[in-house]
Amino acid sequence: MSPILPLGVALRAWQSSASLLFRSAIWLPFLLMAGIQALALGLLLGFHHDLLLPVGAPLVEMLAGREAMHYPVLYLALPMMFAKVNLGINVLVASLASGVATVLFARAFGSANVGSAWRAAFRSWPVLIVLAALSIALVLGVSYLTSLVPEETRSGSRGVRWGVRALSLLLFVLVQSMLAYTTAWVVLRGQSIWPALRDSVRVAFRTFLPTFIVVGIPALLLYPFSYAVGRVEWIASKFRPEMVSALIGVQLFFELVATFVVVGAITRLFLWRMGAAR
Amino acid sequence: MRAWALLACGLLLAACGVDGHVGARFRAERDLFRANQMYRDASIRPSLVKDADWRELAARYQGLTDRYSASLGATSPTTAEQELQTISAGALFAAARIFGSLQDSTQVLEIFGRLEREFGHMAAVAGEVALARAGIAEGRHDAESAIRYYQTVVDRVEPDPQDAGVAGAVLDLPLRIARLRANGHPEDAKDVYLQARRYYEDKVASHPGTLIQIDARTRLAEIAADLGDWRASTRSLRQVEADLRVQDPPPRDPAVIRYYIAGSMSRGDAPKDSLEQALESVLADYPQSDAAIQARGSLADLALVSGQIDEAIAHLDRLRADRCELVRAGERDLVDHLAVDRRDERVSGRSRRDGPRDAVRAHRIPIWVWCWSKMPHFE
Repeated sequence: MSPILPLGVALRAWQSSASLLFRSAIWLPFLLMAGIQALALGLLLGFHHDLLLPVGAPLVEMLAGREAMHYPVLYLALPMMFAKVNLGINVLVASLASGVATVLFARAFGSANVGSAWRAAFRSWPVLIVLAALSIALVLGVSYLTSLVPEETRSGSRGVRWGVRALSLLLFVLVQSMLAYTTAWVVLRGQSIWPALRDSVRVAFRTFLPTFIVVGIPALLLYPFSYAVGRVEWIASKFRPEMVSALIGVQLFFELVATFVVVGAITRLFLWRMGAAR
Repeated sequence: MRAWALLACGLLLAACGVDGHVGARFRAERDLFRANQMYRDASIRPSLVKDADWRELAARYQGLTDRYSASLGATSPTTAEQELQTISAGALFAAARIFGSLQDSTQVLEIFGRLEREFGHMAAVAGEVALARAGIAEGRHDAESAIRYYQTVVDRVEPDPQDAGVAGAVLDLPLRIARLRANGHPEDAKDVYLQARRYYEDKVASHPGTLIQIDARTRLAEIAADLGDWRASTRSLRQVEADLRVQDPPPRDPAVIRYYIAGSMSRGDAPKDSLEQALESVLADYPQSDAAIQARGSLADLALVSGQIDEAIAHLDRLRADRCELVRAGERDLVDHLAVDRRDERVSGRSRRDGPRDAVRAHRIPIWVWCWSKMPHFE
């Protein structure tokens, strides 16, 4: 098979998704997720305000210890704290949002047998939560695997360091690709956890390269942000500690757009594979 | 539903335990951080910063104290409140430092007064103010006031040699007081040093195995040296070195203490052989220490003084081989010096025949012998 073909399929999937960028109804679940992320970030950053202190201070202390309640330590600990909060948001909210978005995309792509997006997603929410938790557990497992490379080996060689980063990103994209179709199987076909997992992997294998490209390219494009966020001490010392929160904000914005495009493209590929698209 | 209720209860309980000053402390730290950043930026080229800008920065520090010290209560403060007090006092100190650099003593003394009034209950702040006032008094040659302020610090602040603030300076002060008093009344020197010695002996006894004990013993050696009792000084230093050698890693370089021992022996008119032995023991036991360079140089000095030029050159050759970068810096210095001399000779039409250059020529000593004379000397 020509390598151009999967790339063409991926491009068509992105194009289909991007053509819906101005449909406000589809943005709603993504905006819900982004709103909650923004609230969480705001709560962490503004914990010192008298109104937020009763909730913000215990939260900051729980996530990063007492030291994080000092300036500028808060900003140094912010990426780690927000990553922890974001795990919870991903499991509880992003799972629902992606379910709603998948139904909305399917409807926009002309899939006839889909009902109310919110109702369908709410009905499948527990299953979506379990699948999101599983996905996060696998991603954390990948991070753990790469952390097994000894620190001395990593710090001793630039090649090893970048090799580990590349391997980590590759494994992340692979895991995400394998699980990419679970939401579609659950909300569009009403499957439960294990069948959804099994069939997602099956579809991912059958559509491997397009799926890998659709998931992998946005992940690659977003990598500079996560790389920069990992260098908070440098950023805080070179510029201002507040730059860290600005960077996380920018990262969230681009992640939001990328998630929109990826969810749309995956739904398009799913419908294409199922032969349900017009 | 039960889970939500539990979460709400948990948050409520956590909220009850929150110290209300945590938020104010964070904001104060942020404002201080920003003011300090402005101070650092201005300090890069202080001459380019107008006096009015410095005063504005000082006002910013003072404003920080005004803003955050208003909410402070003096009775049983929480940790966050204590830290907030420290930040507020620190901001005032920073303002005083700026006014000090502007030579505005009126403002400095006003700030010190405010610090004593508002933060005098904090031992560290009272100590810092007293230390600063003592410095000013010494500058004015007012030894009595300086002694009084130093004594306030000693009475109120527990020494901590690792502290960068006033606690780190406390151990020096009893000796400083004794020296000031002895300068004023040399006839009472023994008595005033006795008081200082008691202080240090007490610290040695009450802080076994700590840096305080080591530093206090070093001061005891200094007291003995001041009183001309070089044997006692050497004995104390030997004890300090023994204390340091059992610690891993030692908080101070034991090689330096060994070098001081040699210094103490030299002042105590020890025979040349034992002095040489002491210096060579620094080289043998601590070859990697910077004190070894000094010991090698002192050996060269000793040889030069005894007229053993070859031995001196041998030591300096070794020094050059071991730490050539230092010697090279000295050589560059000498080359510059000679270039200036030659220019002077051309201008004046005569050659200067004094100074170390002649010693170099007379004994045909390699250039680095003269370089050595530019380095720190063994006394």
